[in-house]
Amino acid sequence: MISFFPAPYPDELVYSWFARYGVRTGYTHYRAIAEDLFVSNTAKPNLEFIMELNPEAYKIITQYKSFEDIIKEHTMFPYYVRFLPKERRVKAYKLLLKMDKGYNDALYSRKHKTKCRQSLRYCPMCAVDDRNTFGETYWHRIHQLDHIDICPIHGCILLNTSVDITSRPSPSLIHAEEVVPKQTDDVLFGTDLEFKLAQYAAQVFQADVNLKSNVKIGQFLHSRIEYTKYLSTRGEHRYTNLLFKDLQEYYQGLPNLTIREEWHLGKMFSNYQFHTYDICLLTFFLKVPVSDLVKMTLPEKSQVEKTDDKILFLHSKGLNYRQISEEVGIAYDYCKLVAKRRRKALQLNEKT
Amino acid sequence: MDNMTLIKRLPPMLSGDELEKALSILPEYDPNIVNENEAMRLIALSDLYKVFVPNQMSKEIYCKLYLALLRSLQKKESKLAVQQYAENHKAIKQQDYSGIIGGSDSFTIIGASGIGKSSSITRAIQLLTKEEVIEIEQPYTKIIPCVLVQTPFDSSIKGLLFEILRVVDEKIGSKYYANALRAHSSTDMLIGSVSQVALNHIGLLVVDEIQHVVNHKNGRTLIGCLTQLINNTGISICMVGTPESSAFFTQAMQLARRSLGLQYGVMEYGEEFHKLCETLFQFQYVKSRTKLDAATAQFLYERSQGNISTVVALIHDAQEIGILEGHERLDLDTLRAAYDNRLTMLHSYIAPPKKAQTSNTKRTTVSLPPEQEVASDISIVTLVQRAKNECRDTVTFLKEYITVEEIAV
Repeated sequence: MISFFPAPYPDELVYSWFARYGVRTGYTHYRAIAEDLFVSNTAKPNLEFIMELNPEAYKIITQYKSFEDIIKEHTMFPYYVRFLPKERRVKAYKLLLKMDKGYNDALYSRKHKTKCRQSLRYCPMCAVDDRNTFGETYWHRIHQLDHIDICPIHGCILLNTSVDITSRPSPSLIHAEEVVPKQTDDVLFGTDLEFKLAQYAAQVFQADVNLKSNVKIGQFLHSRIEYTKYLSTRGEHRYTNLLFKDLQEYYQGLPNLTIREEWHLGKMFSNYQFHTYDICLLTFFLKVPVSDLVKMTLPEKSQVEKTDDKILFLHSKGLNYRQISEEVGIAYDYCKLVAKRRRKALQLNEKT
Repeated sequence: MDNMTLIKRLPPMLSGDELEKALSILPEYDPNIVNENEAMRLIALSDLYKVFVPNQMSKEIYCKLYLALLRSLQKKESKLAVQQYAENHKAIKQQDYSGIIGGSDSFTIIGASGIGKSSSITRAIQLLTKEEVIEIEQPYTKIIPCVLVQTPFDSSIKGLLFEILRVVDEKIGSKYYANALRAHSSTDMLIGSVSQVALNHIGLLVVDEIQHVVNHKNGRTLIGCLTQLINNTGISICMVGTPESSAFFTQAMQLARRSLGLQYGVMEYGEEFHKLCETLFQFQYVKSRTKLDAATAQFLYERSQGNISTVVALIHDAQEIGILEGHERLDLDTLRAAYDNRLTMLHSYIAPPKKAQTSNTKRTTVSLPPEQEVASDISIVTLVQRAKNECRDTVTFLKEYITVEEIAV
């Protein structure tokens, strides 16, 4: 029977929360802790999400927060689902709510060829702040973002620990206080660009996840390059090679530039790439505010629609197609095509 | 958790008449019981053992325990307590660790057997804790205000640690004892585990029968273990025992420092003793009711030497004899019969005063060899008082300090 349970700290991983419980019980073996918390006392605890809890543990932790809030605020859920299509997003969420292991398939987790983190990480300066505030440090979620190697709060380089997340060691719950040293002599800092990117990504990560949004990430990204040099005049054709070139130039020297091929960009615009970090790289470059990114909305009319409307408007004003073409900057043949399509649509409407 | 949340769950501290009234336990007494048959009266007579008459000792014990519990609860969920969790965990992992939270109160309550220490402590604990277990919702925790354990007869450290875990499990339904048994932990690991449990769940730990450490080779080690627990948990620890443990604690500074506390002797003949006897005399189950007079009170004191449990036993057994043998009276005769027949085992420990000497008695002197001097810093009065307090034979005790020659009279 569980006779106590500590309160969760802000932005603390569930794994860390349970590890603190384990330390305070005084149990000498992991098995005893697992028996208190989980349905299976031999399974390895999940570092990023939440394992299936027994009813007693579930009841106690939900005294602090609803299970929905625990998933959103204390697991890596937002990092992996935010830009998934709605169906997958909702499916992953529902599976996580049921603590069904099938959520792994629903989530977007990619094996990237570039280096990902190998262990749980910490910021030495956050550790000092935690110890001053709470008396102990803990595993923060914002230090575990794939490809973000800088603390979004202090800008210092995150340090690896011995808590391996990739291999399969014996089951255990390791409290950050056990492995994070009391003092770190040389604290190294990242570049200004890395720090700002880290802050941007952390804000995106920590924002509420909109489970109901139907907006696809590709459409949103496309809408954000409208009226830029990366989109044709009409707004239909993307100049991804130019975008890729500028992106590479902007992020030159960035250690974790995961957009290494032009086709990566293409996949993002085509709704085949959903990784939060990749998307943040692009949107940060495009200066998309965090608030816009986390509440993705599309403009009422796309650039294509607005251009077509302008063509028709000018045509209704009596301009000929050549004049319209010069005015709008669209090819003559296309101007004619747009007007023709509109006439056909009107005729169809009249018939019906 | 704000420490005030916990402290607010304690009942307010009592004092004065209010405390005395709250500490008293007087079972219901129906005067018509004297009309019942023997069996019923004998059964009802056992109510005498439920009577608790508070005295100065019990009030002091209550205050001491309340303040110790308060100081202990103030440390729960502080930053130091959080840091101490990590240190205790190192002990479980068999790494070097230290006490951060600092020793809280540790004190002793020393007194001869039967003067009412354990009863006073039990009664004080009942008053201190409206709830046997304090449950807090945020953070979710259960705290046992007072945990009472006995020192193992063999001064076994593991025995004591397991007993603490067992008592905690009994109160809050946890599985610490079962898990500790299953883990086959070493003593150091077990100290770490018990430290965590104490930090989580215990306000005040009372260790009774501490005199078991005196004559056992493990005694000092057990006290060392208790010292570690004090340093690693921030909880208050109260050690209760008989006067022989005083000598043990004075052996070393670190032991003496940890054992400052309350020391009690037998009750003096006076107002308190009279009050006790009068209260006990209210509970008569014999057909003829008698009043307490000075001679009876004097007799009770002489035959008990102020030991409360002996007084209660005398009055109880006197009534029992009165009922069984048909005297149906509680008077000097039945009291004398109770002392002679029922308390024979105690006779050597209770020495009633001898009759006055006749004029033919030879005077005796005790002479010291001329070259022997009494050490200037030792007073014979002090030595005699110490012997009395430790319930030891005065002459034997004096011989440890000065040369004493005994002459038969």
